[in-house]
Amino acid sequence: MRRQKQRGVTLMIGTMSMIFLIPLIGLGIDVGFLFAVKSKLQAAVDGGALAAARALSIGATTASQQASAQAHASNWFSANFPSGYFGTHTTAMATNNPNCSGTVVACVYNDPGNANLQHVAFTATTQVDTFFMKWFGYNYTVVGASSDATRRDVVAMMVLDRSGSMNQSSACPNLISAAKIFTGQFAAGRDYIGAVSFSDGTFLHSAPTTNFQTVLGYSNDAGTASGQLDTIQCNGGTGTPEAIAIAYDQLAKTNLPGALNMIMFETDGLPNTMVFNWWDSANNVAGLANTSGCKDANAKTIAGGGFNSIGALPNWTNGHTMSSTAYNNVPKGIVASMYSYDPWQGFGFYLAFNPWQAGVNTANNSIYLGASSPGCQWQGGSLTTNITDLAWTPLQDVYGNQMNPATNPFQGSVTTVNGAGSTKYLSLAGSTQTQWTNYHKGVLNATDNAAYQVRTNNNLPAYVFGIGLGGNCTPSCTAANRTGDPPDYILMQRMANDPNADLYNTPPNYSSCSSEPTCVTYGGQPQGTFIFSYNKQQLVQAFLSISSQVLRLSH
Amino acid sequence: MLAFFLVPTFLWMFINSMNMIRMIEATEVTRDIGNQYIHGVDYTTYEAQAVAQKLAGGFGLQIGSSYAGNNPYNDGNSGTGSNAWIVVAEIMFVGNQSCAALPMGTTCTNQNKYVFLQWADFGNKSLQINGVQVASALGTPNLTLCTGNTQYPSCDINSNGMTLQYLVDANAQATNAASFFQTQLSDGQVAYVAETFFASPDLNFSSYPAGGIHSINFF
Repeated sequence: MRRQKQRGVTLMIGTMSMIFLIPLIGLGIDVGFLFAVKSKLQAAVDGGALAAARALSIGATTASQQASAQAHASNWFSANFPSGYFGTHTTAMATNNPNCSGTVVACVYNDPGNANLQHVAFTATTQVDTFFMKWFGYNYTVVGASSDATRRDVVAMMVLDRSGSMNQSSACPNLISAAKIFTGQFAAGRDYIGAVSFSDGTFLHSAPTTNFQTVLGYSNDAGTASGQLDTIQCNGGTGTPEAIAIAYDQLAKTNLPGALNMIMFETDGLPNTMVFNWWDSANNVAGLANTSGCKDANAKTIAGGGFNSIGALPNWTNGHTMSSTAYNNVPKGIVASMYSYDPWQGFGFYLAFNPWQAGVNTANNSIYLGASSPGCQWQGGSLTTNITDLAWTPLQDVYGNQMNPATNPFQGSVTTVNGAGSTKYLSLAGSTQTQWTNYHKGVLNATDNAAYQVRTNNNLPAYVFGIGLGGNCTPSCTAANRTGDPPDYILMQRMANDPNADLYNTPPNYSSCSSEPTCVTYGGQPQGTFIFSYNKQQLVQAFLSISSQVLRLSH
Repeated sequence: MLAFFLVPTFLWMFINSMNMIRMIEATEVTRDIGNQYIHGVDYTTYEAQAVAQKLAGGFGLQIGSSYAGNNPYNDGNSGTGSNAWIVVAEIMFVGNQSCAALPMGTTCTNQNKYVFLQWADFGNKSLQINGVQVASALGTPNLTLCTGNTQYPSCDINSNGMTLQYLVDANAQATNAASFFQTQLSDGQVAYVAETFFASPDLNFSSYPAGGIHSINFF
């Protein structure tokens, strides 16, 4: 009897448990869907915020840049979160942020602790229908996601090679177009861009300015305008170390450590020119050979007792005032730039030029200083001489770029000659070939060192991005088609501190830094990018690739 | 009798929940890979792909033996049982100004089109979900890798996945990219994309998401 009464109890309990089990299962299913939607919504909002931060570069005014950011947030969000995704509805991009009045698609605001940092706050919500919970009156649930992306302002100095080889390969117009497209990628009124161009001297087109599109010129989807960049004419040598220093001097003067500071360096050849002060102020001696006919301010040669004090020095050049405290001012005196042949030309030098150019047309390039260095046997007429007037050359140029740095010299140590005390100079002894080889090593080392100093400055470490233009005869140059030596790709990778610099190296023209024993990069320093431009037509692609990299880094 | 009802219910719930969890994970993996990509991680290197493999732990992403240097097509890992295929790409809209960079007289084949600036994929390109071979939602580019001294037009992309002539190379077109954007991108504007495919052969009897997961994220 008792067993008969118990029969069916399990069914009854099981049925009653359904009252609890089904809602629990339903809750599990519904919550699972909610999390799936939430996850997708979050990814969509993240993508929208990052695209919006990048879009702060688009527009000529701050207002248009903010509008651009909002439009991009919306466009990217809808690409990531299609209408009706998972049955969602009433999706809204509605950001309420105390830094913006009212509800906006995305809120753009300045970081309270860094004037050079902008935030983009982006929030979206959507309604997710429930499957089971609607039985209990919950027809839908609102799911929301927020994201905050940042964009640092960019302070960039373009360092553009306008040497003679750029002219001979007819790459000058391509360089100008590419540089203007580069400036067109950044935020006018917000980012700071300036430019120097260099041959055997340097011309400062503009310090970094937020008005760069007007000053330098630009090209982008909104239009194009002419500026300083359009005035560039190509002619002369390749004074890379000086150009890097003059450019960084402007970054240091602008002094915005909260921004992304960078040098955008383009060249089609090897560095071959540096600026020296041949007066050793520590030991009060001039670097002139005893056979030199150069005369000092008292018309005395060095063998005749001249050049024996700073007061007796002639003024080959009148010095140069630097803009920042990162460099010492260059004094007047026996200061000039010294050009050496490119390897394909053979061995020789060309002295002496004014390093500070008043303009960029050919009349301002290669200003020979024969007239201001009376008696010196500077070879002004041809490229076929050795150095007869100099006894030595300082181991650093007037900007402090080291030809024989203590650690990791790119070309190894140069041959030095002892001066008074512990002083050493770059040796110019031996045959023309020996002189040239030693000097050429030193120039390459100094160029590498110039970039090293930019990256390691304690107050304002900056990125170095590089573009090497391969030239028309790359990869195989013949005497007939040669217009110069191509850039040293190992040097360029070292300067950019880029271990993987082979983005456009097709067909392979050089090895990546990581596989070259002489290519040293440093993990703790800003890592830029080196781009190989196979020919002048690819310069635009190379410049755009760099701007794309910079805009990645800036947020 | 109760078991007839409860067992299928719990089974259905378990499978659906597992697939839902996988879907959430897939979305997050896609987002993380894309976030790394936009910040400069080079997914043509084995090291970066190994990081993605760890991110996608549990999805069966296999990337084969390690290699040195760069390879944009480490996607033949079907023999290793890889259940995943990953694509990262940078696309750009080519407008009039971009075409102006070409030498006079050169036809700008890709004018007013979206193109791949970079393409890299890894894992198992032969992956099938519900019996259908996976394909990128951006369109399937026919980008031949340049090796040795070959160059465009014999090939299209280098070992870094960069398209060498994106203005004139019709193979570089991202044919379906336009369908994702409500507003056409402006000239020269880029978007970064991460796309993942994860097959679920062991959970292939649920109503949704059946057989596998596809996730795509634009940055």
